[in-house]
Amino acid sequence: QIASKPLMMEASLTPERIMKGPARLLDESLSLCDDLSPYLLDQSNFLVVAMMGMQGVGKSALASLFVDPSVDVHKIRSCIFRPESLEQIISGLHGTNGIDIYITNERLIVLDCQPLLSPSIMDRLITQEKKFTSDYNSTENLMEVESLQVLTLVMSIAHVVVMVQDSAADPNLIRLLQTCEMMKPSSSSTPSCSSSSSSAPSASEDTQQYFPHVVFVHNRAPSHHFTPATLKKLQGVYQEAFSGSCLESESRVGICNSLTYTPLAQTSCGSLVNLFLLPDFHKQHNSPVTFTEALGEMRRQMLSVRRLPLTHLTLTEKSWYQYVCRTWESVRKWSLFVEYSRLLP
Amino acid sequence: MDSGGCKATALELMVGRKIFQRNMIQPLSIDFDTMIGVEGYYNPVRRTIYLHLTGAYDTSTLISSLEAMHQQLQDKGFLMAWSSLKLGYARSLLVLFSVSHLLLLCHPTHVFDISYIHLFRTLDAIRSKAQNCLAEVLRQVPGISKDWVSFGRLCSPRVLFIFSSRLLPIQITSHDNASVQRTTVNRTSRNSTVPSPLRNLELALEDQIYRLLRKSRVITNISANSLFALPNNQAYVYIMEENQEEIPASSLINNTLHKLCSSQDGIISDLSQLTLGSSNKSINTEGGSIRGGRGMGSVLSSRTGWESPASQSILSDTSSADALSASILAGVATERKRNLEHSFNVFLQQHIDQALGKGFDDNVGRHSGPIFFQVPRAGVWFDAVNRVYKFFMGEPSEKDTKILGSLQNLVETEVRFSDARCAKALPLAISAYKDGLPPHYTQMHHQEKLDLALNVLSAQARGPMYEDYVTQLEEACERIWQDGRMGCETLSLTGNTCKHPRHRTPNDPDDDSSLPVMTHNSGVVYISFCNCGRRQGQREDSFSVKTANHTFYQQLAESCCSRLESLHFPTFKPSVTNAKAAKVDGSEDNEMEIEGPSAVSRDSREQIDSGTPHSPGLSLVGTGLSGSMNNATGTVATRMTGEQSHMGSQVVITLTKDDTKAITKDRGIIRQASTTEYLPGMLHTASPPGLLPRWSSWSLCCLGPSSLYSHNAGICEQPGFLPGTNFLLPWDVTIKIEDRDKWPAIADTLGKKALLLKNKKNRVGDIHEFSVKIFLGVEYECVRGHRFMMATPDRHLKASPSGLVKDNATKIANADMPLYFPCPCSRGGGQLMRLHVVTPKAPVNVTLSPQVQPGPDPCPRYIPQPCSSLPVKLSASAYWVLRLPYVYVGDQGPHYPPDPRHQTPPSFARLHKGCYGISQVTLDR
Repeated sequence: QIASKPLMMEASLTPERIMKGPARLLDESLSLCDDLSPYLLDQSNFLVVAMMGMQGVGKSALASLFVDPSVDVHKIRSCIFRPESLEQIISGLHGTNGIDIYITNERLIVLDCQPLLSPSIMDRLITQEKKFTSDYNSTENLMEVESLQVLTLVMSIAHVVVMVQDSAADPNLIRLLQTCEMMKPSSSSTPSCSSSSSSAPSASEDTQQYFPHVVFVHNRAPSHHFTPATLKKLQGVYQEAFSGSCLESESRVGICNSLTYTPLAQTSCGSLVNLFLLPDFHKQHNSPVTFTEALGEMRRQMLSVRRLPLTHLTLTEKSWYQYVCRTWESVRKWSLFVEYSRLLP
Repeated sequence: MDSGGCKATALELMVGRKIFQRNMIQPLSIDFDTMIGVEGYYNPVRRTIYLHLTGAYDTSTLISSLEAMHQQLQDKGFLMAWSSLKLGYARSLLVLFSVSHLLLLCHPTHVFDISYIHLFRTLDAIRSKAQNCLAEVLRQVPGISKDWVSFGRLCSPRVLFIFSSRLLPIQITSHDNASVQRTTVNRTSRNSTVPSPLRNLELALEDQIYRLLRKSRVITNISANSLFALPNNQAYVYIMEENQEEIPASSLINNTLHKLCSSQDGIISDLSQLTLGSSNKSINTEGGSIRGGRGMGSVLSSRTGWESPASQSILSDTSSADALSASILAGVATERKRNLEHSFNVFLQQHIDQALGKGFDDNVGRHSGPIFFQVPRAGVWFDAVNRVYKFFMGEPSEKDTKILGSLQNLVETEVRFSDARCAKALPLAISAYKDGLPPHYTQMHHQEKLDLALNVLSAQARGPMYEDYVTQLEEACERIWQDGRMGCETLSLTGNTCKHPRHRTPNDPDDDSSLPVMTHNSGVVYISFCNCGRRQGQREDSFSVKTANHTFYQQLAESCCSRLESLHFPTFKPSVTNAKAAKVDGSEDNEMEIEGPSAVSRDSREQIDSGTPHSPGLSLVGTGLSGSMNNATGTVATRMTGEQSHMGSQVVITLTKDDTKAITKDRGIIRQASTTEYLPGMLHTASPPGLLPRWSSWSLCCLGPSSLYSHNAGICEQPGFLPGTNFLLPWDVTIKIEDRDKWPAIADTLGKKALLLKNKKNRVGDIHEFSVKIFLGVEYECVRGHRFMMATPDRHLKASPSGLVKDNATKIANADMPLYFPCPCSRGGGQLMRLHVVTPKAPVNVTLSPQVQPGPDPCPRYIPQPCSSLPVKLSASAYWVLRLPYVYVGDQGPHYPPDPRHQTPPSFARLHKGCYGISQVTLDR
């Protein structure tokens, strides 16, 4: 009896199956698929990082680099998460559908999500003449709501949400984030509350809301953004925009804490906003930081971020997965989204 | 490129000059009400006006806008701020869509931003709503055409989409770049066979955008019904190449366009640059233009203006302009045919040319309506634009507010959502407040229910309007509470609140006659004992000092102690019928005490200062008491103190002859109490001299002869004592007489035996001494009706089961006694209520001069009679009971017992030591 215990613990250190490539968390119609439990352990030391952003900003490439910084993004096949191919770019199409998930041996869980507000996804819906739920009376409303739903899910289940963008401070992205914050189900751990929006005030007595670290990444930032003055301005946008928000947008990760590019260190910029600038991989010759350096620094900081508890119970990987499924179901049913979509023009 | 850069660059490419100043750090000048700025540029030769809109979609403007809105962001959050920025943007877009032929929508990337779809739909809805009002406005423009007035715009404008190639992979752009480098021949051949990837992307985007806009019904078959149209057979998507943007403007213009324009060089120099701000005085500024994609958008509106045809010279201009446009058309046609260059100028110019030429016809299908297209004169256009600008951007007049309101509704989705959400949650929160609400309740209960309601609201409500609804909820609940549900909340003197709704009391001067008249009642009932302690009674929580300290005891006394002998403390005796309360001010009293008039004798002042004013003629020597001696006998007493320390429980009192003198002296100066003004509160050491209360809060009565108390049995007749606590404590006092002759009374009355006994032992000098035994009891009552005695200042009295008491009274007589002490029942606090004194059968009087300080310093000490009076003398060989006040109310309100939940030092409230004294029996009384 005594001997059996250590044996069980040992067994739990390797999952039933090792991931060879990414699995699908959500498919393209945004329903749960692939059972992930064989890949998951019964231990609670894991980090969930999710990549979010508009179409074509480099979410998949960054996610792949996050899993393995040595990967060559040019060879699409070598990437864990497949970035858009040239053909897709030329046709204005997006790459990722639903949410892809990959779990490393170091128990880092990376989520690569489909683009927010993507014209290409909307186009697909139109051309396939898919029937959308009568709740949302037009395709553009459906797009808006689905983007919000995916973002809401990710904000409930990930420790770090990386908002990737390739333009400077996109107000649309900030708006989406804060709308999500506003609509977040008050407690997704109790599925009953999704139906009880009108009555039963007790259902939403959940004490502490969970909010993830939100990290803004300006991918392919032009070299003149890497100056203290410009950076300060960019940080100012986030600082002002999130001054009234609960989101963890200032958790001391960011280019200003970087060791690699000292002119931008905290003293010169002052702000604690979670903002990273990544130089353009193809045009990094005139940028003050090389892409590899910036990426390495970003990865290092994000991996060491303080992990806030997702729920009041400590989750193991397996219970995290169950929590994800529960959350997604309640997010899909969450009545506020219908309410919101009715107000859209 | 930074935002703002892309779209302005596009215009500059077109114009061939650096016309717009831009810098991300120093944003363009914008109107700070709407956070929108529009720049314009008029090229009369090319008959084109370019407008450049700057707004919150530009990064630099966004940055400065957010900085300017810092306070709002703090209070309301980003969603609110962004909504108002978007609203300003939408309003300026309405202007642009009304006055432009062509609009360019710039994206900083190569992906279409579908959030524009909602914006377009909004604009379309508002445009049709505003059409009538806009027609009114336009009608006032002199020389305007009828069609323009009725449609409210020049045509169904075209929107062209500009994307940036900056972020495209090098494989796509380099191919194209390379082709630029190559010879024209090469390129031509290449392009004719395999379209460049960039062109493919443009085509893909065109298809995509068309499907999206079509599906969302932004564009329709009939262009006149839509906000804008897309050209049927012309390109409307252009991808700006990066290096093209970087080429200096002058070199961009080369090629055909430059040649075509070269003949007009002189006129080009006359180009006027227009800047439009909301408050701009100059008439010729116009605003309008559009926004760009995420972070950078731009719109260019082009328009032709015909100079007034009346003048001869202008006629020639016109003809030359005709010739020019014709040649441009020709040139462009040629160029496109040859597919010469992927040039922005070509891309845009073809649309401009068409506008200047035959106009747009973007209807689809056979059943298209009539085409409406107009190219106005510049003068008319400027006039019209000014009015349109004012219409959409200025302060709305009454009928316009509706339009503006619906625009706001459509744009501020998040805010409206929040509003609707909160509005839904508000009734829930209010009913949570109302749930189980008693008919009336206190402020504290109100606050508790309000907190509950706020929890409900915060769980259900969302977004930036939350704070507004919190205020609403607070107001609503406040109203419910104040609407007849407010409790009286008057605190009783023991700290309980009145349970009645708000009301008047019978003698309340408050003339709010709507309130019912009733007396306060906290619903709390206490058990108390009468003056002498032999009868138990229930008392309601009192709200007035008189009820608490006087009336209650009077009522009980009627059936009990009224027949007992008692000593009455001095009270106010009115000499006039209209006696009134004296005005008492706390701070003034203090001064009066310290620097009081000479009416107060020096002696009594000293007494006050020393803290034991009421022992004239007697010095009470106990441990640590020497400092309190204030008489001529001081020296003797001090000497005795030394001995005292060896005498254990004995206390030595020395009587001297001087007593008599001192007494007489004091008596002579006792101030006559006022007979017209009475003391409004309770008497204490800081009360102004000469004032007496109307009734006494104290009572002193004699139960009977000292034989009533048996030290073996304890106190028997009195109910409520906890077992083993019903004993008085013996106090042996040795009395010395300095000069026997001068104390004939004592000598005569004193039993000879006792005297002789003492004298045998102590034959020193002329001093005679004898000993008396006094029984003291310090009795506490707890709110539950328990009574108990204290053995020391910090210990309950507890007799052994056989009734044996080991303690003596030295400690309780010579130390401060706590006013409040926990009852052994451990659930209530006991309050010092009675002092029991059994006086000895000896020719001395025991005197009492109690001083109660019910709170920490600088709380005054409460006394039964004015400072200047003599201590009360108790008759010998009798059982006396001094009942203390039930409540202590000072000038600043009642002194409440300490909170049992907090540790309070024993000195919090106390009966000061020096209460008991002895004086000789005056024979002549």
